[in-house]
Amino acid sequence: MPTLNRLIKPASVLIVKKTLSILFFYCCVYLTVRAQMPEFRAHSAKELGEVHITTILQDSRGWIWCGALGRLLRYDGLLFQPILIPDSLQSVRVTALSESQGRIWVGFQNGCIAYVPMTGNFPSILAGSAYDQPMQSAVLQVWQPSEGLPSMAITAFSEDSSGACWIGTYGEGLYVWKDNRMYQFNVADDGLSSDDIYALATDGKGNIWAATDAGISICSMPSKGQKKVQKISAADGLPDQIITTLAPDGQGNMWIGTHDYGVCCYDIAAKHCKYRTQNWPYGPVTSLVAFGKQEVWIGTEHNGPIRFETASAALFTLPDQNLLRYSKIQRLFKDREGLLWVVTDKGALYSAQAMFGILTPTFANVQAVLIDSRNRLWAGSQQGLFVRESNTYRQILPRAENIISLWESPYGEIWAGSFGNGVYVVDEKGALRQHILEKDGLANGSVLSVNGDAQRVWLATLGGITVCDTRTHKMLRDIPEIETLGTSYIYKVFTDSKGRVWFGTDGDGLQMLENGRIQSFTQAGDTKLRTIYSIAEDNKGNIWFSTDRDGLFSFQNGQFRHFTTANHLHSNKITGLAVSGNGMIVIGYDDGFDLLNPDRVDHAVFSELQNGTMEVNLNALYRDQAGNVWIGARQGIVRIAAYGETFLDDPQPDITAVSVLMQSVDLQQHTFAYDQNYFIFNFTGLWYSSPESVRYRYKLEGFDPNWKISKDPLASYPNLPPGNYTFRVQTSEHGNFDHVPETSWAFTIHPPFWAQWWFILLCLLLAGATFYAFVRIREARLKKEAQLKRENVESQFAALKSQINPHFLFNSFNTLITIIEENPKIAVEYVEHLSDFYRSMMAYRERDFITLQEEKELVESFHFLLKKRYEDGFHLIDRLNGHTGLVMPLALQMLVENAVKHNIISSSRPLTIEIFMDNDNYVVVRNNIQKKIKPEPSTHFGLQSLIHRYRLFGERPVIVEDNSAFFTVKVPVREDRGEK
Amino acid sequence: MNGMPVLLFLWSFCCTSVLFSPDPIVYRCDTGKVLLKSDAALEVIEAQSNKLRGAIDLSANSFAWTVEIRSFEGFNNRLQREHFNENYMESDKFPKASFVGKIIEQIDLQTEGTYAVRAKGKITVHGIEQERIIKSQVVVKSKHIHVTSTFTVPLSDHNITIPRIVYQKIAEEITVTIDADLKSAN
Repeated sequence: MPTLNRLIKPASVLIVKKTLSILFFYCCVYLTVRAQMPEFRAHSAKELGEVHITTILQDSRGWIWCGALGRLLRYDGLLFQPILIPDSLQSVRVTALSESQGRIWVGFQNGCIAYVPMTGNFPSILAGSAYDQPMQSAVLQVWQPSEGLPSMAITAFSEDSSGACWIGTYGEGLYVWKDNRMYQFNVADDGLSSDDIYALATDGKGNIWAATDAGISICSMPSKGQKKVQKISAADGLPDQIITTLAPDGQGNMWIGTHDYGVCCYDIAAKHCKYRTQNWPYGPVTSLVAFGKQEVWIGTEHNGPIRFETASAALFTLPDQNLLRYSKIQRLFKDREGLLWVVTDKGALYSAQAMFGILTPTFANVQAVLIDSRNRLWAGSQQGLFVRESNTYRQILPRAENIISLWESPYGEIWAGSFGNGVYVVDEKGALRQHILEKDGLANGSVLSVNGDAQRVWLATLGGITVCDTRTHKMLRDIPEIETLGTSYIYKVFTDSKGRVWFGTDGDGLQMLENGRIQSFTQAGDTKLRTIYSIAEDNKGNIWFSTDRDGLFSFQNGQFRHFTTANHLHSNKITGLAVSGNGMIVIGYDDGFDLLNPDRVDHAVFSELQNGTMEVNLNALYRDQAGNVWIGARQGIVRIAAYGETFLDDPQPDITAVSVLMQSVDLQQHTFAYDQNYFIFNFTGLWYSSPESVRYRYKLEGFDPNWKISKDPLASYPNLPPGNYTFRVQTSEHGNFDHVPETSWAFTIHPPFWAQWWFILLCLLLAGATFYAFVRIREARLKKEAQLKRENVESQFAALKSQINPHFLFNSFNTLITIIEENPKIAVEYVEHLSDFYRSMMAYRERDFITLQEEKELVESFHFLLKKRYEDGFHLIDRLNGHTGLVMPLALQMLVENAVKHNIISSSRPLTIEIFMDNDNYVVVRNNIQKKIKPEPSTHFGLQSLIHRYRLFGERPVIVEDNSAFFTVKVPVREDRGEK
Repeated sequence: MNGMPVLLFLWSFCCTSVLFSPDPIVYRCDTGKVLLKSDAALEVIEAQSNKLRGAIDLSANSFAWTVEIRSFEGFNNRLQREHFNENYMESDKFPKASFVGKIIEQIDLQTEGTYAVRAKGKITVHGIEQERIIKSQVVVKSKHIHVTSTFTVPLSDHNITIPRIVYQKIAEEITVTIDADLKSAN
């Protein structure tokens, strides 16, 4: 029973001091052990020399910007990066910062206004590098509107609902930059309260509130040049005429800080002050920050930051020993993580997690906490029962009772369960009304938990349940169903919003009483439910309960869900549970507490005290009316504020710069050439709560198969092949990368032109075309060759056929017969010519070309044969006159033969064939036409073949002319180059 | 309507002299120069008037300027001038343009020197009044105040409508250059 051991610790000496101290501690996170942390963490830019910070801003990407004397710095939580600033402004104080229209606007003491474009590449500086060099690509540029710049200090910027920029000055009233035109609001012309503007704020309707020495002016410019000014002054209920600062709470109220009367909360719609600080001894207010409706932080001129709790209207200054306690606050600022930033007039910068506050009361070991309906804190410890009244703790009971449980009844009575000495019932003033003991019928003197409604009070004891009447405090003995709960330990009794009563038992699991019947839950999925320590109900009506060693369960719609260290809980040994007003499940452990976001399962953030562990006592968690959770621990009381506004609970990744081949590139550029392939990504995880514990997980989609986890905000990729990539980076504070924010940057590396699809396609097409052309040409040549060969063969065959034409032989023999007797000598000559003719024919037919001379001889032999036959009917006039050249064999002979074949030959009508050369190097064969009446059967093969063969050899074409008188054929003569 | 700027002008003097300053120190001029320039895509038009009348009250740092529209000369041709007067400026209806207001900077113009000042006031052109802040250069030397300034007047601010087709010839914003030398009237 480890729990009981803790409960029976000896009481220590009780000391009640007159003052209440509130310490702020910096939220320490899982795996980070931080000893001796100051309450406010100081952010020092000492590396940059003397830096006097004057103002602070968080931009929409999450970066903190600090204005300083002659400087502008960007801060990532670890390092301040200076922005290059023009020489003329290097000794001028930055007095206002704002973000608008993609620029960081910087107002100076001398009226100058400058800006930094936010689209620039802001490489994050790596530790160890020369970070005092101003960022190369980020330069402060002086704004130059045509109207000129104010000559008095810029005190504030604000943006209205139309996007127009409002500029407050100290001495020149208010300027508006709308539609590229500057307008001025001042006292004389526009009825502004004063020309000295201290602060500006924008309300929910987009109107601009200006804080001045003479109250507030609410200004707007509905259209170009149209001015509206509405004044609020002390006459309208403002506590003071001098308004120094303004802070809208985002919920329809404006917090107004004054010079002498503290702050007030002005309801904008109802136009009156809702609350105001009474008895304000803390001097002028300089700055305000509202956290939801519940809390306002007030920066003062002499008393540091002061917390104002709206519900109790209580003011809490820092403890005396805190170095900010009496400092002058220049500016307070709330970031998106819920951190409160403080700029002092000395130029120093601090931050603290405002959500966590620790009370260190004068008694030790807080075992039960309660905030009553009058918003007073009750605490039970081994030293007794205490109530906090006017910042002191009052001992309620006459003796140092060991109080372990507390409950406030609907009648305003406090029921305090003790360890071993029954239950005390005291009224709201602390007067004892009843002390119920075992002898009165209490099941056991140790009351671990008290809960109930207007009728019944359930007392969970080490000996089972006892039920009392809420009003009369009398024992109710007629409830038989509770007997099933037995007489063993009951750790927790809890009445839910539906009127059901839940019991956390020791060994018997979870029991629930509904409509007079007990329902028992001893099995949740695979887990057997044994000892249940704590029970709570979340804002959706689901029941959460925790066990001694099996972790946490939720019960909704009859289904259990189990959370253990596997779901990133800090431990499975849970000492208490509570659900805060903003839905966070607060889980207490022996050494700290977790905040579990039920909408983001597997995401719990563990916190512990800066000075070591925080031992959360059994069931010492309490949720108050406002939704804040109070935790009683050995070391004191922790308050977790439920601000009713959401803050980020993860580091936010931001890709700050990309360099290609060591050159910074514009982040708007997304395509690169194939040789721009060496990428370095700079990124950051903005997490001012704990910047050094940020871990990165990144992956280059398209290249990396797996995520890489790193501590360095840098990833480099040399030699990326062409392709589409997305660089994804996630950030986490505790190394748990489930459901964490991510940012990405997509880019493409184009392949080189020779690897582009169109180029490859073109090459393929070209290769295809070449191959096709080659095949076609080759085919054509082969075809031509084959045809030539065939033509040749055919022509030879034809020639042969014609020569051994029976007519020719018959005619030749007839001629021979006629001359053989008359003139045997001639006959012999004739036969010789005939045989010559045949021999030549046989000799030449194999050759492609023969000389003109050879052809002429052939023709002459033929002529002799014909002459003998036709005598005077036939004349062959040869005028070649020894021309040289080459012709196809038998070309001229064939033409002569054709002429003889197709024409009438007689001595009365002689056929004359002329052979001569023309000027174009053609040999011309021409005969007069006297067509036979009955033409010889002809295939016209001879002439056609000749023409064809000449064409195949690529010679000039054979020309055939046929007019009525002459038939002319011109055969081209090839130059004889001596080849054979 | 015609006398409005003049009345305003006089009124401002009365006010300042009667209510605020027992001893107004007024500098005046009648022959200040106003140069208009329209730099459009297709045509540059310039016109000038030497009849800018103005006054500065040094005790209140207030001023009034006025010029007759018909006094503008120049232009690229006569027709253009006619259009200017009749179609765009409607000079018969709105014969004058004026700028009346105060100097924002708290400076003493009785001390010799060169000052860059911002004049805040109401500029009236084509009968339409607009609030403007206009940056000017002021040189004070031996009882003379020399004022120079260049600013733009968008036509749309003053309901001067240009037919769609003429847009290429007339700029949407007219650049106005002022050059005036004021002398003590006391």
